[in-house]
Amino acid sequence: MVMEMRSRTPSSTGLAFESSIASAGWAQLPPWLKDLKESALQRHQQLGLPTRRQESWRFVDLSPLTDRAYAPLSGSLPTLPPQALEAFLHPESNEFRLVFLNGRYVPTLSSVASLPPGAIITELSQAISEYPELVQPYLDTEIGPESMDTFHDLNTAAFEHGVFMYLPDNTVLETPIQIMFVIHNLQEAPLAVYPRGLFIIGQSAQVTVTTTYLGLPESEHYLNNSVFQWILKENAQLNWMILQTESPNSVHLASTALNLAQDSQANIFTTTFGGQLSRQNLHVRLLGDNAHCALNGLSVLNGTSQGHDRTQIDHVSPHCCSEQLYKSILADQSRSEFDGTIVIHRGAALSQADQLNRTLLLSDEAKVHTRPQLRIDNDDVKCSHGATVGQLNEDELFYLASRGLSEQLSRTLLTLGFAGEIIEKIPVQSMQQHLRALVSQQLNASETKQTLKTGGS
Amino acid sequence: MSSLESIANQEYRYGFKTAIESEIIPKGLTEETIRLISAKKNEPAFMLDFRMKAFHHWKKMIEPKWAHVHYPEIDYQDIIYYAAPKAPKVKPKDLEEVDPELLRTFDKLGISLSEQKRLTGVPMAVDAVFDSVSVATTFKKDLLKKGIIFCSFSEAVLEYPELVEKYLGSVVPYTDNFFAALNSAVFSDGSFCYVPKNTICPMDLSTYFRINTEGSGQFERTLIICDDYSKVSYLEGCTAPMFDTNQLHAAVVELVALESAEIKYSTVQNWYAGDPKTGKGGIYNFVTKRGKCQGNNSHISWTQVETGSAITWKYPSCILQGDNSKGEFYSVALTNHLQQADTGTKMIHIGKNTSSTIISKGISAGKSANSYRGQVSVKKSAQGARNYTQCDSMLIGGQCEANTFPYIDVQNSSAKVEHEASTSKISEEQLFYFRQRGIGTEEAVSAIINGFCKDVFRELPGEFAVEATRLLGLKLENSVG
Repeated sequence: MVMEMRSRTPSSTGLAFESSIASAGWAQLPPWLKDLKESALQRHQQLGLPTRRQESWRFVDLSPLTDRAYAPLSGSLPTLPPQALEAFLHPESNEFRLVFLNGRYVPTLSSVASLPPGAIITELSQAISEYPELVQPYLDTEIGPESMDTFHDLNTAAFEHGVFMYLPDNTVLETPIQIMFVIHNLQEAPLAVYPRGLFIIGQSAQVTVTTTYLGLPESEHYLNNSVFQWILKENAQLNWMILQTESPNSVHLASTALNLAQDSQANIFTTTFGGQLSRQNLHVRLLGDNAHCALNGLSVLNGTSQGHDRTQIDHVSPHCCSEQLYKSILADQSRSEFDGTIVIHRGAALSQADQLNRTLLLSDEAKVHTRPQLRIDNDDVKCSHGATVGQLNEDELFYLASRGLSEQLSRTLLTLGFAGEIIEKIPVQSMQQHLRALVSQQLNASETKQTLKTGGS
Repeated sequence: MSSLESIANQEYRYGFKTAIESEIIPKGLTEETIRLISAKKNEPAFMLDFRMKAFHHWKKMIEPKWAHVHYPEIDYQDIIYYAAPKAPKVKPKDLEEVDPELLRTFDKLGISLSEQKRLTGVPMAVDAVFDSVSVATTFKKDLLKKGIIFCSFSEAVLEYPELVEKYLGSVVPYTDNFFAALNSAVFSDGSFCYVPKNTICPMDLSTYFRINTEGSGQFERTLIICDDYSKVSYLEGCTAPMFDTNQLHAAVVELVALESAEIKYSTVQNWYAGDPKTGKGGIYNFVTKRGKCQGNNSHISWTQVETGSAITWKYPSCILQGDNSKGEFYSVALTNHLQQADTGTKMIHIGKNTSSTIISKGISAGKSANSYRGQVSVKKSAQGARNYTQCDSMLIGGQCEANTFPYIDVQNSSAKVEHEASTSKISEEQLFYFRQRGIGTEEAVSAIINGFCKDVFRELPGEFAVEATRLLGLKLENSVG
């Protein structure tokens, strides 16, 4: 097998994270949760930190993570600078917004308007005490082995706060819900936060969620290790957009597991702009007939950022359909990796799976690794995957230049066009505009001075 | 259907064993074994030194497990590392003196060792390797007149040691991988070819590998050097008798293309694949093949048709070092019954404006597993590098597996890399269309498969293309119900 997720010998450095887990409070937790956390911690300790000998971590430089000892938040929350969040707030979500600062829920910045009967959107620790019968059966259960890596276990052991959503059958939420994880680390020690999300979408329920990770630029080092779990019941529909704008000296490790039941549909967008090291591990299991998922990714990186997207889609049931489009734009010495696997299980006849990864290299110092993989155990399928790596087309640049556009503007326009294919599919208007602004901003911030290469290809 | 079934159920055609007296060294691998092999071949000191270094390195290595294949642990002490037909006291000077039993064996395999012209009128030079030694090489003298050296590896070691020493291990060092290290330590024979400057080789060269002795492994080594502005086309074929035990075939092939040289290497691999029902026996084909486009404007092209072996594990690769050099890989890999294949290529772009093309067609039937694994790596220096990859899989039946594991690493912004892959099956509609026009299912499948593989077969030299088409048809019979 190519993908060996678990190292055989535990590495001692893995234990460094123990200090970042506030295990003192475990005594107050309900026994089932305490057990869950203890066994997760045990697994995490056994697995240790991944090494580059493991296939799925081969291109991940973990030094930003291992060079520091991370500690949990101590003391009170810092005050946010005025207008710090302004640009990141989606006006569409003014009625439904949950804001977390340094991993803690901040009710004063959040608002949850009246919900349809039976629907729950609340902070996770509160949900655990108020609705244990809804949380316990789902939390950390029914997750595929590919999602359960050492950082998933670390989060399970360490999380304190998070989001819990429960939509009863046939509940349709028209307004998008915004969840923000803001980090403003002013303490000297590197901070570790462990956001957790559990979302249960009932039969024929519909919802749109945006998740914003925002690291304020003056923040000290931090680790953001999040785990999101989605359960989509029959015919449920989900749109989920992730915007990652962590600060340049952060490590962002996100792991998401989605279970899709019959006829359900998930459209997911992940956009990556920040972080020194960022890794998204997205694992979708199409468990019921005719489930459909579309994953879209956009990474715009500069400086020495490294962004890693790992996806796995398991076609377990027949008639399911999956689409993936991942695009990266790399400037300066940035690095990106796309490691996507489609697995068609034996019984999954009439599956359709498409996967495409496209990379735009804007600098000779940038690097890309792409591995679009197919594992097919059924003959009645239609699968395709593709990858391209290239640069901006000289002819197109010339065309724009000949019409009087400056070179810088031409490049930005073409690059925006490249990113546009993803951005324009996003169903929240204000997020589209914000993303376009972020792409231009990111390009302007890149050190690479783009000049038309003369006489060469 | 009855006649078809009888063809389908026919046994592996090349499964016979030649009754010939063989000289076999005891099983097991120690320093002594290596000294013995080296002494048997009267090798110069540098060879023994190379073997010993490889052996000591191999002992430190761990057998790799990353391929998508499953097999029981191999006991490396339970293999015969050297088996050769008993040599006459005097080495045969020409073909008349070669043991007639051996000539008959190769005749039966359809390989004529007599220097007659083939039906097509174009002669082909053959180096016939039987177990651990080369038994005959045809057209040697004719080729030498043009300055082309084509002989067995052992002969080259004795007669052209300077060439061997210079190039041996220059493309696949003994440290490269577990099986290459093992091969470097114990390889017994193989083919050697040197094409001097400004020479276009007048005929196709070929090596035919035959494993005969039960329990023996075949570890051959091929080295082809094509000097400036020269060109050669090389073919390789292989078969083995049917035994219940698995046999290891760990070969190394090294190609060196100097300035503006062109090497075309074609393989039709049809080792015994093991029992179709139980999977018992068959060859483990763990081969390291690599070509180096050392000079500018050089060109290496690999074409392979993999139909046999219980397990195939090979990645014919190109190191594109010279500017404007070009690498190509065309592959058809067919697995049926319980066969497993993990095959593909590596294209390493180092020089400027280098280009590579990968066309891979995988066909899985029965309960087999077929994986494409390929790497395209564009280094920082490879300004203007270009790659196009297409790998298609076809599945026949619901119990087989088709996997694609491409690795693309790009470090140069002017590079253009494209990868495309698709997976499909033969649809009922397609078959219906054929049947409507009076063409039976088997024939229809064969026509569809041949169309699927056309891009690769086109690259094979004439007779090989015919052979490959026929072979594919035979291998797939009765796999569509």
